[in-house]
Amino acid sequence: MTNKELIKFLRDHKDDPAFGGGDFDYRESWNRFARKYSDLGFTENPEPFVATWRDYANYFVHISSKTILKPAGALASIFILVFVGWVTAVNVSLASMPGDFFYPVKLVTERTQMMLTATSEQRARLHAEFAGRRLDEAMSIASSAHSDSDKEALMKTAVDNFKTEVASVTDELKNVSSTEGAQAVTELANAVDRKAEEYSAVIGQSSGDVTEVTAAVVEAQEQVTEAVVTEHEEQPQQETERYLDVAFQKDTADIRDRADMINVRLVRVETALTNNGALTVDIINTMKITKKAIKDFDDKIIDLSSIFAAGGFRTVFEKISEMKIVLTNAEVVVADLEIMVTEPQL
Amino acid sequence: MLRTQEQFLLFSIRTKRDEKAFDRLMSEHASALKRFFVYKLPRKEDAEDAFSITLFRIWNYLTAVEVESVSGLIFTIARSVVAEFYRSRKIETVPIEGHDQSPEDQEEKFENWMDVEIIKKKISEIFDNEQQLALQLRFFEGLTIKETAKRIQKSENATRVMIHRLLKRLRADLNKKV
Repeated sequence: MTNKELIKFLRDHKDDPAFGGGDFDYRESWNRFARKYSDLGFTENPEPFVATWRDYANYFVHISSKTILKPAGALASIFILVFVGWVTAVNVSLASMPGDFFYPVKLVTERTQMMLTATSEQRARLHAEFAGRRLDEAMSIASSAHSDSDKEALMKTAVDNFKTEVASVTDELKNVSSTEGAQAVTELANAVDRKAEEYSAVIGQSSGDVTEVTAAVVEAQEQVTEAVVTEHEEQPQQETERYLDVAFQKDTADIRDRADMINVRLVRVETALTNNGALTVDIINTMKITKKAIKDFDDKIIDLSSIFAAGGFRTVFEKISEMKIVLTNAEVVVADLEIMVTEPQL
Repeated sequence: MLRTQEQFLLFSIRTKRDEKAFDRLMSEHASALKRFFVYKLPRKEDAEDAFSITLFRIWNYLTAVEVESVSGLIFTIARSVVAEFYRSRKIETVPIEGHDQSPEDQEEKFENWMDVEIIKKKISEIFDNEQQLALQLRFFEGLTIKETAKRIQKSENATRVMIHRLLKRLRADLNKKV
């Protein structure tokens, strides 16, 4: 027997009762079923099934909801879960510090924000905001309970990031159009100044080593001032002039205060050393040099006022920067002398 | 029946408990279902009862649950009804088909009857329920490989290979006996 013969045999005998064949009347079987389950509403010899346009419409709505709305709903659910998760992670990361688990999330969020920002002005604003965050982080690290070695590494990271952000602010400002530039530069310079003032206000509370942060903040202020000067030189505007005027007044007042304070501290040191009989020739020379270095600062400030009035802004702020460096060095010398006075006599 | 048409009928049954849609849907599968019961059960009455019970259970299922394909469901329920039949009652003495035939008629059909009986016995002995169903659908109901595959819920390729192997085995077994 071949396969063909077997298949032919099966097909030829499909109606054989042994194979379940024979006459089959579906309608009769249905009627039997309908009689048996008539309590469920089945009827004998039902009319043929005819669908109305409403049935088709309902079916269409059903299919649409299945093929479009359900996947869309699932997609929306996934999106919401991811979004909520991301928002939560971002919120948690906002308070994170360098070295924290969520800190990379904070940086990625900031980079994403930056990527989605279209104009240089907006990017510059964002960089300024991020610079403020880096400064906050540096201040938090300085007062944190990390070990000294960890603190030093984290502080370096924070300060480097702060410098990078400030550099990015000035870079972006170069691309800002001249019409919007003056206002944008001034606002951003003010923002950096405000942050620097906040920093100065709380720096006394910090127990950590903040010298590097202070230097970075001063450098940042100088950078933004330079950016304003550049903007003003290209196209003088009231905003930039007002900013430079205020900055000049603040700087000169600060220089005068610091110079006066140095003189007062030198007098005290001199008195103390004289009373102790510890005033040597070397110390006297050091004090003379220090006094001399800051002696003519009042005259210089008067000269700078004239230059400022004549529009020599760049020269004025360069000179102010130099004077600040001299003051910083003088303060270091005075601090050393004060330590000498307070040291126990052997 | 097209898949869309079947889906539309299933939708009407589930949402409106539409008896007419159910009647239309079952008429497509009734022949194979009835053959399955006649083949599996000893008496025609048993097959009729099993058919009604199966329709009732399919109705209950389709009005409660959204199903993608009804073919596989029908034979799954049908197999459980047959299993219940044999569990719930002892096998009674089965009246031999053709008892009421005259001795001449019986003699005329004897040779053919013997072949059919041998093959039926072999099929029942060497093949499981699913394999028997595949043979029935393919050769007795005359369904295509695609339709058969759909009803036994296998891929077309797997069904083609399965039927080929069933025939080969059945042929080998029959040849051995001869």
